[in-house]
Amino acid sequence: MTLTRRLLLTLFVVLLVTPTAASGQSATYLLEQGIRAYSELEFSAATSLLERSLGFDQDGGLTRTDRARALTYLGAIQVFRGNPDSAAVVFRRLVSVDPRYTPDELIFPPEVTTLYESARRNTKVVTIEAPSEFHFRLGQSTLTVWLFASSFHLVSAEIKRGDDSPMALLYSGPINESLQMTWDGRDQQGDVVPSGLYFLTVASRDTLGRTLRTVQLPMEVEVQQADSLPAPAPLADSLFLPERGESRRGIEALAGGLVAGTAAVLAPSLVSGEGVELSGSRFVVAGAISVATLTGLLTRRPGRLIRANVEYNEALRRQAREEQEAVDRHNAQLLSDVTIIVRTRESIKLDRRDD
Amino acid sequence: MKSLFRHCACFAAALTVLLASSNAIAQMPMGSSLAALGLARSTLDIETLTGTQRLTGTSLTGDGRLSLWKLVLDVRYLEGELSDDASDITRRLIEAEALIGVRPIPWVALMFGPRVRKIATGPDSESSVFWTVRAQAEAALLEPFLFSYVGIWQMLFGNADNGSFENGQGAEAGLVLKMESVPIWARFGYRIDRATFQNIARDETAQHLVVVVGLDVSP
Repeated sequence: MTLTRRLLLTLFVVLLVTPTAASGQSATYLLEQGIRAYSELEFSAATSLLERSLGFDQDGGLTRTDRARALTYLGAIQVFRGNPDSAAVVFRRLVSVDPRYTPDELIFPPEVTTLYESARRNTKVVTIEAPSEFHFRLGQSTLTVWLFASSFHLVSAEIKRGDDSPMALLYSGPINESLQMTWDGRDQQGDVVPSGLYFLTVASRDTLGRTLRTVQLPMEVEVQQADSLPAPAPLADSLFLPERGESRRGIEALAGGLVAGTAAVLAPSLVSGEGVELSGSRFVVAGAISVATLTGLLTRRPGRLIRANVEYNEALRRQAREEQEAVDRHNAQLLSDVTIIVRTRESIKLDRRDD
Repeated sequence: MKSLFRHCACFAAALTVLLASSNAIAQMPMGSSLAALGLARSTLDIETLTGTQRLTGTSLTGDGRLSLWKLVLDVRYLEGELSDDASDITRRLIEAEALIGVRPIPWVALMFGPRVRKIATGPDSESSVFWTVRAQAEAALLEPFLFSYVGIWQMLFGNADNGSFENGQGAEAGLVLKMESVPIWARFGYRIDRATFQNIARDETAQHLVVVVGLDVSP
């Protein structure tokens, strides 16, 4: 490299790092310039440009693919500089950004790709891919989430509440390259979750079960459901008729019958004059009253089952049961009409450990 | 026979009016009404200084009752041709009463009102009016289907075409059957009352064995 070119490149880098200039540069532009410097074997300039391109915040920053490209070039530079350990660190970072990424073998020599594959094998990490917004009817569809792993390892995936308490375990076991999971909108007990913020938390574990990394996907869950009907009030005891004869009713019947029968027989003698021949029909009435009284006594005697009242009470209970079943059916119908809306945000990586 | 048809038509008209009004009463809270038609085996003993005449026969009778909260209105009508087996004399007996009262407790009614009796022989008739106070009680024998009832009454004062009223009283007992599935009720009872007239030293004792069937327009 000529002195002039070095000076020009240095001047270019200086201009780039000044705030005024930087504000006008996009991350993509810096990435492209970094790659150009790499191809011209200007590794110092390339390193600086690539790291700056990675330093941008979310807005205006690189896409995941471009971040992976930038890290690949950075790792390759470390390989070429004879720093395999530094290269491995960069590649592990690359793997955690996109476990599925594979460097282009037409661009990068085998030393680079081999080292990257080694880092990928040894770095246990997953990424979560989920729709940014998904609507589904309870019981008819589910939310589908994909996990992509860097290499074979053990994972556990569960949905947690905002206070980190577990709510529903979705999966626990090995993952090779990818894994599809579904969530039906219910918690571990099978109840529909209330609206709120939840986290799909995926932990990568080593063979001993220790957590290596955790990825969380924040999920805003909105449950849309019509109001259910309240349960019918229980039947009051006063609504039921006595199912067995009460002594009081038997005595009442006996007293009523005695008074009426006696009145039918004796009252005419008291009312009528001396010369009047009383009609025998009063005995017919008195006899009928006596028979009715005896019947009342026998059918209402204490302890005897009163079939009519039993049937009445049973009809009352049956009606209450039918009302309860109708409410249950209605509420079950409402439950099946629940719509769940899930809105996801950018996933968060936690608990990173060196592998 | 012609007279019987005429009376039946009158009863039917009265019953229609009663039911029309009672239905409105029954729509009110705590309101109920009963209306019924039936037959009575009637015996009328007329005791005078010259002796006792017994008239017997079958009468057409009708009952009606309106209840609203604790108030109660009872109306009764009876009419029939009675004959003397010994002398072939036939007389027409007409009785009507309208009592209004209260039910201090559900199974007791205290009522007061006029009672009219007319005994006609051809174109001639003797009428009397008594003002009656009545107590009636009922008890369940087979609730809610079968009830017994007892009523006693005293004639407080009255007047008659042929003499001044001295005293009178009566009693009644029987059974009431109520159907639960259909709004029909029936009454089977025995009734007796006696009225004494001083000036002509006359006693009238009427006995009726009554069977009526009607409608119960209760909520």
